[in-house]
Amino acid sequence: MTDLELALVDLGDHLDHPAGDRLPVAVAAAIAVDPAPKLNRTRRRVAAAVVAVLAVGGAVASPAIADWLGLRGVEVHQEPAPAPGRVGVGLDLGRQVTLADAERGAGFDIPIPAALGEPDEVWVRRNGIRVIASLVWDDPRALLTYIDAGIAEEAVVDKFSRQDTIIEEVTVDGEPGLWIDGVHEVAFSLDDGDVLIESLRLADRVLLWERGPLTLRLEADLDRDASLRVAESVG
Amino acid sequence: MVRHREAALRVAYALVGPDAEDVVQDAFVKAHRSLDRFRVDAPFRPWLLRIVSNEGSNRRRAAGRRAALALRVVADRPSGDAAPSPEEAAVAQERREALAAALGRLADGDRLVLACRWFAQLSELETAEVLGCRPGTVKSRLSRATARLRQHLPEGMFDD
Repeated sequence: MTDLELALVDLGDHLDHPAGDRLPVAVAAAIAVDPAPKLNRTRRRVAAAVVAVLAVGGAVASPAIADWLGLRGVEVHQEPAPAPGRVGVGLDLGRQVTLADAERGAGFDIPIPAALGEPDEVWVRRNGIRVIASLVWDDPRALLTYIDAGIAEEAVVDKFSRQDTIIEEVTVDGEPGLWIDGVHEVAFSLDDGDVLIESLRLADRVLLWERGPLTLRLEADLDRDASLRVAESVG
Repeated sequence: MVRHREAALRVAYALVGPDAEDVVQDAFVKAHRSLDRFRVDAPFRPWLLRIVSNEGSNRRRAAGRRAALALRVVADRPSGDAAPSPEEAAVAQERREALAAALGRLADGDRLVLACRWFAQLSELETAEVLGCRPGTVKSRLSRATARLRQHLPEGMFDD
């Protein structure tokens, strides 16, 4: 290399360009924001949950996103194929436990939705310091996930995805929630600053809502109204 | 190794100066939306930087900017025994500032090829991907950009 080329490399290391510290959040928010007017303020606050609903799927996209967004420590899961036998096997739900063990491990009570009855399986997994509990039913096929954090107030919600993705503001027991149909992954921005990006495991539709200090996520072979009935039956 | 985000910021800064972060943000969002068009076997960074460069060029064109770009440089933070003396550091800084000023007076295309090659440290092949040209063309564009850069430098500086 010539002196000038070396000097240019050195200059590259000394450029006073913006630090880009706000990029991960700004990009995630921009990806999430849909300029369409159908998103009202309430819904943005509500929902908050979803920083981005990433319908990109596939091996190419996910690591790259996490990398350039700087979302260190976020696991992006691929969609596994449903496995025969135990419903939760292959869904990357962690380890199978009893409900009592799950409550002990998670550190919170796990209320059951009366509409689905006792779950066929209970699973817990660890994501960083967080323990995530999941209940699984075989018929109808359903997965209810409990996360011990609220949804970030300041997070912007919306879709990033296919044109046919539906995001709808709903109410569960008087509390705001979100019905999202037509996605492969959801990213939750939680009120403790954590961001969870997760593939949907059973269906391409999900109902998200807050219940007390918890965020609940229901994926099922159920339409919106049936999902809402399940959500409202959580005891 | 210069990470994607850092590489993107450097290239964007060379193109648009202080608006670099906005350009990178828009570019990342567009890149994200275009991931389905990204070929699995293609190198990721040139693809990303191409979007950054398009975004930067559009922004500069839209702003109708023709004036020289004021690129700022930061000083070395002295560290350890190997740190240069204050005099050496001052000279190095002066040279960087002269180089940045000269760079700022180049045309956008010249700055882009130099930024890809030396700021983002892409290979000539990768630079060709960003520029959308043949690798052989990168060599000649680099050479012309470097020659023009020298014209804006104080006489005798970086004479090899």
